[in-house]
Amino acid sequence: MTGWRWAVVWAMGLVGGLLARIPARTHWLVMGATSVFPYVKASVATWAKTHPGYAVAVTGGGSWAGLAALDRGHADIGVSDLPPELWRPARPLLRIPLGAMPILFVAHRGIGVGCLDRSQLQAVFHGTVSNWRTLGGRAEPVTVVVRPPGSGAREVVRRYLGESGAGPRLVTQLSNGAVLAVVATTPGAIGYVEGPRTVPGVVTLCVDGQRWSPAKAQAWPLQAIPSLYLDPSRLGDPAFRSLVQWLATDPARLTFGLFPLQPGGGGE
Amino acid sequence: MPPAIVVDRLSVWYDGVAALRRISLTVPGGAVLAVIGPSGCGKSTFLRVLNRLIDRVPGVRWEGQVYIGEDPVLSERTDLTRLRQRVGMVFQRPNPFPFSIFDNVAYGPRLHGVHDPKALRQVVEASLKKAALWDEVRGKLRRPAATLSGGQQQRLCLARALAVDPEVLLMDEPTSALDPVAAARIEELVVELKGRYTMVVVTHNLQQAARISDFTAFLQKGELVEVGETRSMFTAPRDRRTEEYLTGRLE
Amino acid sequence: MRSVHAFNLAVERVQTALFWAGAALGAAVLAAVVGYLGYGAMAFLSRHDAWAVVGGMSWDPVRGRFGMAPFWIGSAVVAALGLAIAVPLGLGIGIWAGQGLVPALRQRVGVYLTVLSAVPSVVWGWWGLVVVVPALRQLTGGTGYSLAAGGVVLGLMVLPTFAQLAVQAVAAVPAAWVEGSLALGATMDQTLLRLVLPAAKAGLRRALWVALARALGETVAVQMVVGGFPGRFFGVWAPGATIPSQILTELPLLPPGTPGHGALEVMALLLVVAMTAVTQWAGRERRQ
Repeated sequence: MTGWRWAVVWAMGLVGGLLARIPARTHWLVMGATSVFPYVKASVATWAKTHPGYAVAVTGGGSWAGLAALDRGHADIGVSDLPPELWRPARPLLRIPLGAMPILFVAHRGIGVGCLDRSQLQAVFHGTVSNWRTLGGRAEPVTVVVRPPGSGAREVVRRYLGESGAGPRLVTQLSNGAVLAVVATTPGAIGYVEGPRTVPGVVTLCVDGQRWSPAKAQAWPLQAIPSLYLDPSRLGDPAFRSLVQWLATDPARLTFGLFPLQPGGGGE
Repeated sequence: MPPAIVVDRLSVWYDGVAALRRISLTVPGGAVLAVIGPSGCGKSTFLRVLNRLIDRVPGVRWEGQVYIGEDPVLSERTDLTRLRQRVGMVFQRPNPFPFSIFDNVAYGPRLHGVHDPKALRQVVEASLKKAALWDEVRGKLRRPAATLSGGQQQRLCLARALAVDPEVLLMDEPTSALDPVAAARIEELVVELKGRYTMVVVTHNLQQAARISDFTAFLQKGELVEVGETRSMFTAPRDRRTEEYLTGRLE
Repeated sequence: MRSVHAFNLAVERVQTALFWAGAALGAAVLAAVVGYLGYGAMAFLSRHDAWAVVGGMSWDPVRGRFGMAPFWIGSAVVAALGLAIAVPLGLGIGIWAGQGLVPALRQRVGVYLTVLSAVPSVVWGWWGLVVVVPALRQLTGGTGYSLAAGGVVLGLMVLPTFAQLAVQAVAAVPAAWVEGSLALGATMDQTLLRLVLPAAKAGLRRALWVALARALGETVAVQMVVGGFPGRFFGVWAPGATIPSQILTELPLLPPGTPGHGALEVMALLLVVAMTAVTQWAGRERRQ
């Protein structure tokens, strides 16, 4: 084929690729943190039953992705469990907390340690303690399992313990489920997950002498606060307002690991 | 003096189906035996027994014995490498390897441990001269063999076979894929090499058999119908079937 | 007669147009990808020190450090390990099936390899989690999650593809050549080494490039077992990351629209360029 025809093809392709960068507007998209994705999905479905005229899409992608999509106008509601001061939005946003989600330290059953205090956790996550023997456990090297930067859980843990050290025994996994799978199968592993979850082979550690229980959820030292973010001007639309209110108050929150907030820990 | 070939009650079966039945014949050292017969009569099988290339066929079984000189061919103890070095073969279609002309001819000597460049050059030149190809390829030995014409390729394959210094040459319809001029050159070579090698030539071409061979064997349906001196067989066949085949009433 | 000829010509013209349209669509899609990524990558590189991005050892996007060298190293190590496993095994299968088997059996081996190469990569990754990682943990005393685990999973995953092409390449060597070699007194081993492999060289090299392209691009299976450590190189037994696995890991942190997203586009663009170069190379080998 002649050269100019290929040139036209390439030009069209390039233009198409560039056009794809222009944002396309969709309405009523809820996007963000994977930790509360199951809750948002279920809750939106309940709301949609009484609002047949509205189609609301729910997608994960992570806290940053949700906030970025909101910023660019791709999403109508962003869901984020990041500490709010980490994100500097382009315009003023309304933040509506959904509840508190505990972040629990989980460890392989065989470490021989059931409780750690904050300084011990710091030593483990910074790599200064590299064998459970040091903390009175079995002689088993420590493997630390973390979430990637940008996950809400990692940010909360970072605030509590500082940045994790680097080393050949630091494993990064993408989701709560993957963290649990690695901790369950790797002797000496410790990690953290959002919400009270448990799988065989994994023990939930007590922290600073405190054992987590739903009754004492408010006193737990590590909590992510998944929140809705939205443009306040949108609340003028009654249907939109009703969706936001429903998401913030749906009683099903408790079954998805979202616990009522401490007084004063709320939104702005 | 090249060795005689003695075939003694040779039978071959493929998966239980007989391909050759109780063949017995003798080729005196340095003579040329032409094997003729209709398609599927067992000519190629016969040839491939002589260098045990038949071993590659799954489900093959044989009885009887073949001697090249004093050495039995169909024995568990036969050293196939040694046998095939003594018994060279030229195939129906020219099958030069995808290497240069030089590397094609040097392939055999290298297998048998010749690596000295000077010795290799000498044997390549000598072999190409014996195959009457030297004058056409001298100075072009580094060219791919595939650039040669069909007839040249076949002579290259002959040179390749001669380079390992065999005593017996087997030719499986060596001219059937060639044009008449190229075929004539191969025939000339067979006549020229007579006496230096004991040769068995399978051919479809009766005139060719008459021109180049000392003895002729006529095979039909796996049986040896007649074997004898070529001249007498072509002028006065003893068997009626041979006569029919030679006069074209069969096939 | 004339009208039949005219009809044939017309059909041919339509066919040519259709083929051209198909090829054009493919090229347009590639151009679109390059255009999309290229725009983002160039914008990102114009805002950052390009050398510090492409060659830097420090990756911490939250703090604005975008050194990608750990991932180049990771990709190179994992791909090299993968090929070191897949190539010898695949050559073995290629020789065994390509010359040792009758065509009917060879075809069955080919079908089997096709099925294996269609196994989704997430299954290979899962298999890596339950088999390779514990095995490496036993063997090395490390966590098991490592560049080596990625290499092993990748090697076994690429093996069917490579073996399939190797079988084809070896089987394409004519039986007449093999017989010619045997008739000169060569053993089967000598024939394989001196004739079959050299004759199949072009096809085998092409198989190698295809396997390499696949190895460089594999994402999920590697991500599941590689450990995801984006820092300095602690050796093959320690966690690391490859270009694709890191893109997958960082996508939630750096979605389109965030300033750091351009870094992922730089990585993706360089990967596309590298893989295009590999396939071009493969194409040239084939034409030789």
